[in-house]
Amino acid sequence: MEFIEGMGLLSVTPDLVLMWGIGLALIYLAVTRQYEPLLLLPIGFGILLANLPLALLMAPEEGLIWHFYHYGIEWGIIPPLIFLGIGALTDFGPLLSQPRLIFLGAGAQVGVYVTFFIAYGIGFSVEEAATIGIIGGADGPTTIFLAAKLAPHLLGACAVAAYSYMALVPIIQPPIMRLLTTETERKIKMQKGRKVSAREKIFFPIIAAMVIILIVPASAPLMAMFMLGNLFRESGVVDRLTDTAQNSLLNIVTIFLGVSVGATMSADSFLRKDAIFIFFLGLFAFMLSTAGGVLLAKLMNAFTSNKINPLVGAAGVSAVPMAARVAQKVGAQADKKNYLLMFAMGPNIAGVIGTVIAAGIFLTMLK
Amino acid sequence: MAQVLDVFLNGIAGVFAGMGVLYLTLKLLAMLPGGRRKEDQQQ
Amino acid sequence: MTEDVLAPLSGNVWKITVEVGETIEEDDEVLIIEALKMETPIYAPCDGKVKEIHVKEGDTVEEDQPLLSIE
Repeated sequence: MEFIEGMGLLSVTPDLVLMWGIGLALIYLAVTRQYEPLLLLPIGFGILLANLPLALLMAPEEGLIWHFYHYGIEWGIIPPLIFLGIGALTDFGPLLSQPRLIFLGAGAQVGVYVTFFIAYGIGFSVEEAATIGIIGGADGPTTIFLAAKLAPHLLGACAVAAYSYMALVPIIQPPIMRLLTTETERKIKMQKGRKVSAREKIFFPIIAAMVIILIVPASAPLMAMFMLGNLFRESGVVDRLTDTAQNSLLNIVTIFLGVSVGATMSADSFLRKDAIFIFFLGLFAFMLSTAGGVLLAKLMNAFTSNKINPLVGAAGVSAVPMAARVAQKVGAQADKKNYLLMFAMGPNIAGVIGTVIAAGIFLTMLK
Repeated sequence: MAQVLDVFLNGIAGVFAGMGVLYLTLKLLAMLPGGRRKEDQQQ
Repeated sequence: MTEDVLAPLSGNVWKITVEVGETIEEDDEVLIIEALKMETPIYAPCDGKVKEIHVKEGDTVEEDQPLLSIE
């Protein structure tokens, strides 16, 4: 009868079944709606696996996925490798051509800090509050990186919140953008920036890595890999490395990231009212960051004759390139011959850098 | 509470300072020889 | 008088929705550029007749590259 006693089936509890439902829901959203499928699919399956009793896939020192999680995420290896790939995929041209747009990427971090403040007020610890706030940066790897260091028990919920809201950017952002801008502002046609030379694009990742890491050393793991990937790309002499970083390597680490993040969501760590608060606060952070970017753009317009279309400010949340696409779409609704996509890429990329800096400052002050 | 306020203010200041320095860096980069294309210099 | 339609952004020419000789009006869709996995429709800046199309479907275009001429 030992076999029967060893069956997981007898240890199934209602909580576990609820978690299966959550895992299946994410898989469903990924497959039918294509909501961030590259991440939500493995995350959903990871949730299922973590909640199969007696399988011990997440048992410390023993379980398969525990090893993925421990060496990949707890050791902080996978998120920087994702950044290597993103760096190799990113064209900093739009930012180099209009440097002032970089501030919009900073403005969109407002949601991070305000939410941090509120989360602490509600009763989360400082470390937990920082992890929840960073969801507002709309950057998955950074959220996971910070959570692993400050509040690992919230990692699953924060990562799922961040990735779900990123998928919902086209629904969450437009109403806020329309609310905060006038029709005339949405019709603003921006002046083209200057052309950026190949040499400038090579210098940028080298200098930016040095400058940012000198200012916020704790941002080094993410920033270093981000800029290294970009240097591969812009140097033009290591196509093989660029190709590996942005394709094979990125895909490989995405698999381990997704399944490990999902597997952190066991019923006892996830089914608490904290999780609900995290989802609300994350959404709030996201909305506030959108507003922060738009309002900063309007503020900058007060001081310059070369007007910025405030819609591109909303792209300061880092969800690349979804937020930039949203700016393009909302702009085109006001004037269909207004092409904001490339302008919005500037704040969009700056937002990634801004979120990494914000995470670095949290780490410096709280770790 | 004091710590939270400290992180809050330092954080916002830090992000803007970091991005500000990056902005200046970009401006400097643009002045590099070859940083602009010929057609831009002629304008 | 000929007016060139310039690419407002770089990307790939996804689809050309007009033909040479076709009469078009301002704001008619002339072609679609795909950039960042998003299709961006490009609209005619003025009324006229398509005189020449400088690109074909699948081409990579740079910002400000002439796409077609309208007269």
